[in-house]
Amino acid sequence: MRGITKVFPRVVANRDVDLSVEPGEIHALIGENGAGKSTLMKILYGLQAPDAGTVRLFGAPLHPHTPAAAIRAGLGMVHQHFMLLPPLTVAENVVLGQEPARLGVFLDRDRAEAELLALSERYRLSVDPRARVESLSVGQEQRVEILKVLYRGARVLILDEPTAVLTPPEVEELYAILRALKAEGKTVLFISHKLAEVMAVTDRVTVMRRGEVAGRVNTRDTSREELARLMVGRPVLFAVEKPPARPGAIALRVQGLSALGHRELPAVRDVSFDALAGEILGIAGVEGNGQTELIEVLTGLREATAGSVELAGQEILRPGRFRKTLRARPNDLLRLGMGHVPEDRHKRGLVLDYSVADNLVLGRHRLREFNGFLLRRGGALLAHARERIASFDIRPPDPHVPARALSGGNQQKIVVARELARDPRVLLACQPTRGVDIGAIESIHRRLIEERERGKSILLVSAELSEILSLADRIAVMYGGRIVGTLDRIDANEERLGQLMTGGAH
Amino acid sequence: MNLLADLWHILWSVETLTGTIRLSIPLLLAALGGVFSERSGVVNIALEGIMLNAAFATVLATHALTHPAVGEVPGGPFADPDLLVFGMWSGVAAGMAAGVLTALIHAVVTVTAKADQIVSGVGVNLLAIGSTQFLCFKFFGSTSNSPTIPAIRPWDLGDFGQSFLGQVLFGYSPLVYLAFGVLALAHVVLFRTTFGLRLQAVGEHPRAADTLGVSVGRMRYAGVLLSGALAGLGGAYLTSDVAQFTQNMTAGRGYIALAAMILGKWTPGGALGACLLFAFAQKFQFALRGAPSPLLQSIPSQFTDMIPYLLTILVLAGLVGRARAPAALGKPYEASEA
Amino acid sequence: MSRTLGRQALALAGCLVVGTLGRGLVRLVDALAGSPLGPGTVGALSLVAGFAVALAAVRACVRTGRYALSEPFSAGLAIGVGFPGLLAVRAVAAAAASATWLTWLGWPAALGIGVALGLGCVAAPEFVLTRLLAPVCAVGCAALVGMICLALMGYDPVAAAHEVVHGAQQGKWGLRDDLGYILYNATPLLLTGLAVASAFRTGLFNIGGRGQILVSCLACAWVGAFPGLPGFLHLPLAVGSGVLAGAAWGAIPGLLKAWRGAHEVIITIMMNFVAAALTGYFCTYPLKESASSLIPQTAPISESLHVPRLAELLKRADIEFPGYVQANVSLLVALLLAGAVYVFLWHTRWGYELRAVGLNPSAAEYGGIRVPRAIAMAMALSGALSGACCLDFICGQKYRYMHDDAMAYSENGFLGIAVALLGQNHPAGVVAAAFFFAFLVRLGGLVEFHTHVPKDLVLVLQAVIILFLIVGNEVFRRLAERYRASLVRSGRSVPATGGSAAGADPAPASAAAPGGGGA
Repeated sequence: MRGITKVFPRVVANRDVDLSVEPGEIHALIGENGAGKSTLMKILYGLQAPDAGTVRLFGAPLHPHTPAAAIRAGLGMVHQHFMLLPPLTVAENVVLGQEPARLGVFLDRDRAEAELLALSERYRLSVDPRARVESLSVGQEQRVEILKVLYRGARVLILDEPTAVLTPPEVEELYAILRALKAEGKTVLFISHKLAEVMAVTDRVTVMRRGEVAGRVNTRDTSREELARLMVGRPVLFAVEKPPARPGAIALRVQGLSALGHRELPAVRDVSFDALAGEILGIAGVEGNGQTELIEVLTGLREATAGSVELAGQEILRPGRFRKTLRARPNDLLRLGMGHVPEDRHKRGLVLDYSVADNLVLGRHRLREFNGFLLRRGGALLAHARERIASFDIRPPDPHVPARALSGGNQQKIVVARELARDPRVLLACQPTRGVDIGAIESIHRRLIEERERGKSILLVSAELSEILSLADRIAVMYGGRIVGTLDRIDANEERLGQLMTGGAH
Repeated sequence: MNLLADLWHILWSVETLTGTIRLSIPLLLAALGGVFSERSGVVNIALEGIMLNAAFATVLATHALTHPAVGEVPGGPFADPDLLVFGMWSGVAAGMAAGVLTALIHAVVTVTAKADQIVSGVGVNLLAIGSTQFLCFKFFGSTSNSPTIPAIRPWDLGDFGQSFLGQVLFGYSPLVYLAFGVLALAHVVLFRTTFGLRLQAVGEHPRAADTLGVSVGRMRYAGVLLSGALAGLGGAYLTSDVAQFTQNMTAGRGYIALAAMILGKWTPGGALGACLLFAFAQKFQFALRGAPSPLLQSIPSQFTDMIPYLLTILVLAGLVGRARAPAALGKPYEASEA
Repeated sequence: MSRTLGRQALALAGCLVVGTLGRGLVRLVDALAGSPLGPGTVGALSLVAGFAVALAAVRACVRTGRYALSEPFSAGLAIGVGFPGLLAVRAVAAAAASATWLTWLGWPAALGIGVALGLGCVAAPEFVLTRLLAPVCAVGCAALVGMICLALMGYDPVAAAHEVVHGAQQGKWGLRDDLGYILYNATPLLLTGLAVASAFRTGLFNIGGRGQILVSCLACAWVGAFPGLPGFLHLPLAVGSGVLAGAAWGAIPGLLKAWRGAHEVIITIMMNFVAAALTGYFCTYPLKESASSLIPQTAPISESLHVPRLAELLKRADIEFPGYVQANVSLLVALLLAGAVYVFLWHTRWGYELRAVGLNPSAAEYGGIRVPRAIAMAMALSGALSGACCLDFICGQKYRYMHDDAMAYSENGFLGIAVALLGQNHPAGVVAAAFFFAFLVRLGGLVEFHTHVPKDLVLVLQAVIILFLIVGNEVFRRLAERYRASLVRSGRSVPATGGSAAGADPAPASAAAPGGGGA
């Protein structure tokens, strides 16, 4: 790929990116969220056309720029979110698009299954060809995805964040599979933002930062620290200056909390912790280990199956009306003071087509101060918006602009400004700086520490260890839906946390 | 006991059995069309309009082609039987073609322009009502009905044709057997061919299909146009049953077909069952009118009319069985979104 | 500030130039009218050319990125849209040569359209692009299709228009008669349009207007026929029960959607048929006027429930108006309701919640809004608005429930979808669209009367408007997205759409897949 540039509305996703991969190597493409890795891969795979630059596969330009052409040229992609059809069988999923046929039209299931078995034996990827995909585990689904790619005779496999959803044993299996693929002469392009994996399994690494290539190194000659430096663009994690914590009383007490997640499987298992006033409690963990569900239960967006949550000494989980589940009520949360910066501001945090002013009152829109007897008080809404905009330096400083028109950083500032306007006793901050520019990161971090100084209790959920390490006073690590360890900041380091996050401390 | 005997009698009468089959055929064909469209991810409320346009096209073509044979007297002696048969089957073909053309509008609006599939269906239905009445006036001088056309008749089987078995098994227009052939074919195409697999893939997870090089747009066009051909055949059948075009003659059959498709869980076999059920309910009501028992006679027809709709509501609400729609149904596919 | 002023002046100048140009072109058309093509064909061709130019101009501007500069863009748009608009009005004016009021109206109207659009383009290019252009183009396309249909029937479209306009002014009442029928047709369209639009703002699609009208009319007629109630109590009681019945009929699909996940579109369609059968049963059996009667209709409502017709009201203001026109007070009620719906949706906390659910249900839930309840509420509200039709139909027209007439009247429930679409789901737009569709219906009647073209032509035109509208909305939405992208590329900041919290609201994403009963 040469000189790839891709522009989206409001963002330049890739700027003049060059990437070359040698046959038979495992090549990592790393970078933080939003660095442009996924866009680059979509362009490579033909899903999106670049605004400038060329893509060459084994010397030949990709033409036409479609996935079909990319597949023909020997490219295969295992997407981060699996591209599988749950009601169909494994064999049907694998052969889709290049089905073996009888008489040209009839699907030859026997041959499909036979070919699949042959492939799975060769690469030691055991799956049952007749099983329906909806009955498989995540690790098995990933194997189906890899088989799909191999079935198409791919010589180059792209794996987009393949470990994000896997358990540690599954990750080990994946490593074995990747090595087997390499031994068979396949090329693997491995996209990740996890340095440990990159160091463990790859030959060369290309680092992306803010849409550009920040460096290219041999894995053997590099170190985690160097890669981290290249990814972040700063020599070390920037240290946030903060006075020592002065923890106070218990603000939030969670005991024995359990909840179901996606597919009705247990996602939160018997979680207990106390969050104290005047401290930042970090919740670390690989994404998908129950953090999202835990926060959803605490904010009333998900039902709990057991346990209790006390906010300011009052139980907030109440039995549901029809089912034997427990749920927190928005009114209680508002009254007792719970703020929540959601992890996905586009999905949860903002109504993008509402104005900044309207977004700044979401959740508090029923309060007296914003409403007359029948009508909303436009003046009060505007005054509130102006005050928040000035206080958080939201740009452009216009309360009428739809939130959609703002940059990611400014959108996040709206969310933080709104949640702090609740003057919450407890603030749940989930991935508060994801996809946000440096300036906004610093401003949001500073705000969080200020709130801590004012005696608030802050629960910081982040996948970025650096963020947790620089902000948190205590760190709880979640793995497999449980809290597997709680450390004081002084005892914590990346290695120790890393062990806990991968379940290594058991 | 008298009542039960009456019911039994009505149930097993030739009239009820053959009537059920006859009434179910247009529903079945349209429902099969719905299966293909919706399996590819396109909601097809336009079935109603497709059938209506097809019915009109059938009448128009048949009339035009058989008119010289019929002479000036409708229903008069046919000069040339071969020409007559040719004209009638051409009418069926014209109906299917009109169905495909109508479906093409729906496909262009929903697949190419990616507009709302339901509104598009509403628009197509309105267009069909207006255009058929308009054209009916243009060609036949009346907005309400056309002159009668010759209908495709059942085969003549002599005495056997008059027996119970003969009537129940062979007393239908050849179109009925064609419809059952189409049903079997639809099942095979959907579940046994590569085309069917791709069609399902596009309706379940278009992005997955796209990444494997299956063209989402092309498959959806195929699905919608196929539904046009099938519902068009259903419309053609309607006219062969009453031998003329009348204003808004589909009278909601497209919607009942939609209901049958949902009740049949988006499968051809299920659709057949649902269509037979709905047709039976309707036919049974007719039969009750002539029942000897006054109690049976007094059941208001409105209650049996409601059966298909109430059943569909119950099914969709998950109160009776569970229906699982194709996952990407109703969602336009944007190739470039992340 | 001065920059904005300068731009507006520039746009105004552009419009004047366009106007002059347009006049020249119309002259040219007039001159060509002597050619063997005939004036109608020339007019139609000019319309096609005008729209083609408009679309090509907008596309070219976007492709080359020049779109980012709004001045040439707005000029182009003014040409593109103003020109065919000008021609259309001029064509009508020419046809109505004897109709003086149209002749003197034609020119200023055309110029006004051009100026308004030009100014609009400068002030709020996104608003024009995403909200206004699609309806204008759809109506234009429908006009074109109408002309083609007339030509198909062997009439010269312009000559036919001439005859219609000419004929409309004859008779005792002249244009007042037409106006009366337009008002009469507009009432139910307005109510059902509001019903569809308000549900749509919550992300719901209410196709169930038919059923809601039927049950509400039956309920209203049933309560209205209770004997011995005082009038001041009886009217609100009867209409209230009608509205409640409509709301209940709408709430059922809403509840099924909220708690069982059943898709409201299919359910409302089915509910329409159930309502038709159910009301048919009631007025054939238990509520039938007399057992011996063959007509399925209920007993008449008491006289105190008859609401005054517009003619009676106007008579008090010394304005003569044909008394046989059934337009009645419910039109004024409907207009008031349009205002109420606007205030409710945009200026109350409940409206804030409903629209939030429509735009982003996840964020609404996060904001403490009970999404299922909002969905049920919105459908009930929508059903109530449809149900308000009982005031017009029972208390204003028939004074009893007559099943066959009610079935015909309930078609308005379907047409409400078209009205809401054309009005871009905004109450102000719905009012305009309702009157436009009512005008179209009357026009169809006049065309049928004067030529021999069946009035079913109107159905075709309505369908064409629907189809072109949804395609146009998508096309222009995409263009607007590219417009924003071009702004980013050219390094300019994204312009604010201005403080219009009302009009600039984009439509909510259409609801999820239908038939997803058990998914």
